[in-house]
Amino acid sequence: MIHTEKIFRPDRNPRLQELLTRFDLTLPENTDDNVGLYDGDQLVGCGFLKGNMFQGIAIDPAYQGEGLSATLISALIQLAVQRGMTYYQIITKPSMATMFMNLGFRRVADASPYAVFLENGAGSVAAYAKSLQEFAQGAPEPRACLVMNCNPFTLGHRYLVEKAAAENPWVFLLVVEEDRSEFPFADRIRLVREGVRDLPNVQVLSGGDYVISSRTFPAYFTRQESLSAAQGAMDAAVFAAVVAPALGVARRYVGTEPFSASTALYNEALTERLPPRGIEVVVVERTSANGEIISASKVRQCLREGDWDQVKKLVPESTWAYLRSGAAEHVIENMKHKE
Amino acid sequence: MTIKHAAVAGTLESCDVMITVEPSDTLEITVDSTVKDLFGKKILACVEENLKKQGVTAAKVQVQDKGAFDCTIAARLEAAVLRAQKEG
Repeated sequence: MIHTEKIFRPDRNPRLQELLTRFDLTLPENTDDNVGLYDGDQLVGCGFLKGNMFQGIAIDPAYQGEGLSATLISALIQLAVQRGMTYYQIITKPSMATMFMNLGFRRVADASPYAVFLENGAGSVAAYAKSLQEFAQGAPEPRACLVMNCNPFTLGHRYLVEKAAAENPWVFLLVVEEDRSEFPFADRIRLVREGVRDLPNVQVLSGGDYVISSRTFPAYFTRQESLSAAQGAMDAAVFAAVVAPALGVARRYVGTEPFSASTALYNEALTERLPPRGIEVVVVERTSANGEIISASKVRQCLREGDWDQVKKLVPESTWAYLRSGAAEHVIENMKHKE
Repeated sequence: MTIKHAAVAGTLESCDVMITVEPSDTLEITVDSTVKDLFGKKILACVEENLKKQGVTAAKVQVQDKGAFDCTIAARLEAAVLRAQKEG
């Protein structure tokens, strides 16, 4: 008789490792909860919950074809509902899509050959697109769009936005909504709003559940070397299928990061996949301060090192004020401890 | 009865139904079924009737049916609504 039970210490379970490896998966990181399928005391299936995402779903081939995926997904949904969530997402290999769609999942975006993005439960991508449409109503055309994490908002971001604002009648700035970055989403979007307040043709919006960043894109099913390409491909798929049509956007601005191979691969995926779908990609060289490239990761590094003089050169007045205030104190402390 | 928080009952296994209820100002029911073409209306009527019996007038109800009998639908719905009463 098969039963479901939480897997104790998944990081120290050799049988779980073996199961995941057989599916070319690695253990999902920083998950909130999990479900194991057991035949007696033998682990034969697993699934993980991270925020509203289901990850690392695998069932021993010897037990497939008995409807156990339904048991597993049901158990994951029950865990999610206990945590107050009634909307669920899966990003998985394209070959797995049909199995999940038979269990009620709907396709949001297809980034084959890397991944597909599926959803289930209350809330839908159609409703999200409609809400974006309402924000966009009446905005002058043509419209451009930037998608940024802004962790935190720097002069580098500011430069990119200024450039887009000078070259387009209207600019949408989507801030990735997730709380896995060092700076919480509420603070990040507030700093963006303050940092672009003087630009009348820039509208700041939340990325919602659909704008996936490298922090939310699960890495467990992609080989490390193709992770950035997969992330970029998924970004392009969601952007072309959902965001761009809803906002009426025909142009996407992205910044370069000269020393980051992953950013280059990510941007390459965008420049490859968006133009065929009618969206122009404008790649903007990063600005530098005294010969040093400005990036949010540089700012975080300076904060960790307590190099406030350097930080001041990299961020606008509004971000500086926040960083020096009590509100940012615990964020910076946490960053130092995580090192 | 009022729905105090999100709750679920049932599974996605064959011949079962998974019913999720959550708080809402209005009554909003969505039905997804493997036999929707044949029985969609009957499932909806069954859910409406049983919500009425339990005195639920406002809720968001998601029904994911895998070919359950009416008695199963009624039982799963009752369980979900009762779970939505419990604190924590």
